[in-house]
Amino acid sequence: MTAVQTAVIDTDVHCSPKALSDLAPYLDPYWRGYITEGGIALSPTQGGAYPPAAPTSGTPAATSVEQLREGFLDVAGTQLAVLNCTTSFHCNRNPYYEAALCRAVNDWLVAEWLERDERLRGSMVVPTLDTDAAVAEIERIGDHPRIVQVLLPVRTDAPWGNVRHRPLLRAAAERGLVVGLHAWGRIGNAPTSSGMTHTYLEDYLANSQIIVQGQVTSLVTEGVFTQLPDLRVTLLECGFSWLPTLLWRFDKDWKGVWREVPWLDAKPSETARRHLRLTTAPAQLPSDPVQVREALDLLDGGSMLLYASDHPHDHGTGGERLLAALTDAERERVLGGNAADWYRLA
Amino acid sequence: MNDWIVEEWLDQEPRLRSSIAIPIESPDLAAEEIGKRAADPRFVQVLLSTGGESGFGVRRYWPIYAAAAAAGLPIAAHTGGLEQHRGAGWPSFYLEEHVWNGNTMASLLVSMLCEGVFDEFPTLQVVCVEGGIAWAGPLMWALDEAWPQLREDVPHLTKPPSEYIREHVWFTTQPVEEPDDPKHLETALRHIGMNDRIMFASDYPHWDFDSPQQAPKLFPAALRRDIMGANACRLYGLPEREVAA
Repeated sequence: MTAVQTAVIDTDVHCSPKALSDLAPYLDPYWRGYITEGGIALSPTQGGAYPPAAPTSGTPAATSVEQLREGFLDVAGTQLAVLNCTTSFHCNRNPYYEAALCRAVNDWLVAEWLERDERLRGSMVVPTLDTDAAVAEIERIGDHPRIVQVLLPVRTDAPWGNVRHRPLLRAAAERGLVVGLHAWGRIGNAPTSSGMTHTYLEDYLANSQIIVQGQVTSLVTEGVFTQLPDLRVTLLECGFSWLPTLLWRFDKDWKGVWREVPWLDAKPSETARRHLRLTTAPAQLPSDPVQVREALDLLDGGSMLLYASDHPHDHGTGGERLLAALTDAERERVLGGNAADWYRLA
Repeated sequence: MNDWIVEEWLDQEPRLRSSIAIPIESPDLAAEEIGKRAADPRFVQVLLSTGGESGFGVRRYWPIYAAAAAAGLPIAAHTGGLEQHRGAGWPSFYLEEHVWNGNTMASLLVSMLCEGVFDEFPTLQVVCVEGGIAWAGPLMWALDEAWPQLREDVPHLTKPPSEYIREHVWFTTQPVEEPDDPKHLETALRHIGMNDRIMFASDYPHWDFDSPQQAPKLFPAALRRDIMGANACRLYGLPEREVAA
């Protein structure tokens, strides 16, 4: 068997400022004073999302493009990588500060990463507490040729399908930007229907089950994709193996209560499959390779999945079982072709 | 309420069995009520909701489980109860809420696992009522994938989480997931590997109820007899009725 050299597009690579001081050049004097006088810091663990001692957190994310280049891109042989900086997900509730922080992260990302390595594409971040400010930020920087995605936290005050968020999604769709929902976000809200969790395992799992499934049902039910037929949404670091069974229930329920949501013009499963893609890490799959293959068939994994290393996070061995179970043609699509099409990466 | 159930329902109709209603957020009073009703064999389980003030694995609910385990009664967790923020925020539509409901069950099971309920009460059985079934496979994969890495966080879990689920959990059928190709459901059930723990439920009189005449067609032929009665007889210690061939 000859090894096939597939061009790898990695759709979830993390980077982070070392501290707020890295972002200082991108903040105006008012906000530099606010940070100093208010003792505001940037949480290196993103407020409990990535505890340093948890094996799933891996090593801290790269804090400079040189570090990422030498420590990861050159070693992994990545052709293109989409950088996701989730630092602003953990922010206080001052909407003006959140907006300023997002602007600073975006300017820092463009100047210190995207414009310094040809292989990098980026996700811009937007404030979550002020839709007008989010739209303004997309208008300000969303047309940058290296920006391919608007990154939103999967943990929110209100689900992303909610009508209050629609202008934000519209602004992204109008520019051909993908909207990415990434694991974690505001951790002040209970991640279950029964309140706060007591263990990290419970909290960690909530991203890929409870919360992301709430976002998918919200986006489809509220008619977002009917209203914005060009919108593409990627679910990042939220698992993928849960999708088929959720869609079975979605189609069944829709047949029963479609009158509640007359704007849905197709089966929810068809809408979801047309407008959603999911990244491969974490790959939560059975241990038996035959069952892995069956799970991928139920999902149509060869079409729905976008490869992600999720560097530097470590979600175990599922990713290897996934790649081993794909056919050569599927593997090529998952490793690069699907992402090239989805993100229009010519 | 339990008195009313006895007098106006159980005493009137010999085919009926009942769940014990309990004051869920007052676990000491709930335990007392379970003890009081356990002597009546027509009460076959303890009724819990899936949403509470805290996750149902939390220690303050343990008196309920101690009383149920002592009485040899399963806990039946029925979809409903309090619905807190759930991380993504509240749904706007009934469809949205109903589709997502398997997750209320998933969070209940994960809470019980992570807080150590199944270690503390090794005989306790939990029935997931009206939450669907097919989601359980992907949930077990996710748990088993994360557990080897995060064992330090949950030291009381000494074997893969899916093993606890296969030893402690039962499902009722309505609203069972219905893929376009019924073979897909068969595959999902095989992945879950708990076909001896799935029990028919009509969910009468809800809008989406499954009639006992039509429902068997939803399930793989080889499983119909077990799902339509035999599994429930085993869990609840009921005699199996001979069916004419």
